[in-house]
Amino acid sequence: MAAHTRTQSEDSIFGPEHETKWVNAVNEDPEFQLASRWTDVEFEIRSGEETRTFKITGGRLDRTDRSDSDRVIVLEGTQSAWSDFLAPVPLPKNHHILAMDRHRSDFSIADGRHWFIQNLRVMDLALQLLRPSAPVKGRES
Amino acid sequence: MTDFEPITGRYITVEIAGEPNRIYFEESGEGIPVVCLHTAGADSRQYRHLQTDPEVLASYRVIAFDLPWHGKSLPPGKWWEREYLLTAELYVETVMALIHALELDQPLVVGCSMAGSLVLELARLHGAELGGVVGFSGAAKVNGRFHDWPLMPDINSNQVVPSWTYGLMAPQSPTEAKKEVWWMYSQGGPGIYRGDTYFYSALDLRGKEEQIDTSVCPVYLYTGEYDYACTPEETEETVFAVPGAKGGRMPEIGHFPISENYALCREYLWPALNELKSSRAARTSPQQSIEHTVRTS
Repeated sequence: MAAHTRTQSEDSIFGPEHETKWVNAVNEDPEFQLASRWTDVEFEIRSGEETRTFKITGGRLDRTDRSDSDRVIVLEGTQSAWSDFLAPVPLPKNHHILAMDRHRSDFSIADGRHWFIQNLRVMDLALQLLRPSAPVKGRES
Repeated sequence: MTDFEPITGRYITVEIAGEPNRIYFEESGEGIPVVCLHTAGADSRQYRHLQTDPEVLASYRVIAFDLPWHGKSLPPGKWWEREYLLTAELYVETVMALIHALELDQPLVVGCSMAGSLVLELARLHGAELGGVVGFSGAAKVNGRFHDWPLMPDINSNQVVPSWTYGLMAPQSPTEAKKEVWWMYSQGGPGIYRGDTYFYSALDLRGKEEQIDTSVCPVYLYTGEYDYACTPEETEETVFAVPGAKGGRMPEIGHFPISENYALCREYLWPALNELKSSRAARTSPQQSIEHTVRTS
């Protein structure tokens, strides 16, 4: 059973190369492309002082600057929480944002819960691919 | 040669809470009846792997039905004028009405999720009529599955409900099977998943566990370690609290064992069914019947 496995530098949620690979993987994912065509959602990934903002619109995920929208989803967790989520085979209760939100005191959907639920299918597709071990569609057994 | 599956479907009208309900059920196999209960907001298709398992069908008559409001069963009359909120009383009455209508003798009952909890109530209230129960993803008390968002106009419940339940499955389970669970969940009526979780969240059998007589109705309870709705810890507590109950935690599987990874689920279900078959035979043997008659005469 894979446990707590860090795949990035200890002072960052994930490194720049990881981010680039993730964004590309999401934008190349056939299910994401189909499901996100009418999606328009902005979300932040936070850990301590570190915040990264992303936007899904018109079938694409992109890094962006925080807008003045009041409909931004904020996913906030400690380095430890994000690291557990990103483990190649995450442990029980760490395999999904909703599982961590419910069972970890150091992780939460800190804002925009309604928008997260509203966009759950697309958000989940994108966030599952954030895991470096996420299978590439078409090569999955 | 056409490769037909052994499953056949029929409709039956059953009176529940004083109203006729048109129920759809599917069955396959011959032998000891096994009544299979689907999860919240889903339908009997979840049991298609069990219902096509040749080894199972050689000894068991496997029956799975759609609850009213689900799958191919219709809602009762004037459904559009009432809110669907499943209660324990209605759920128990529905299952027992079907068992009586089909004239099933000492059936085994298998349930998952809300039905994994319901089997405890069935064992408590109707244990003498049953041959035993197997519950997956159930416990004496499960918190926090009832929400209003499935009925909100800016929520597309057709996609959000299946995505909400998708996360309850294990990363190790086959993607094809998990996507099939997602697909079934995309087909529920508006508010039906919500109405089912009303029961799942409201049922509280804590303190009543000792009312279940497992010498009359044996109880098996299992929950996957990736289930974060009904946690394995909650199930283990219930197994401990019900005298004589068996079961526990299943590694590398989530909330929908019977459909998200049937092969792995079978490692737990098949031995449980066979143990129940043996205990049922012991209880219903002629010698037992004679002894029962002597004791009660």
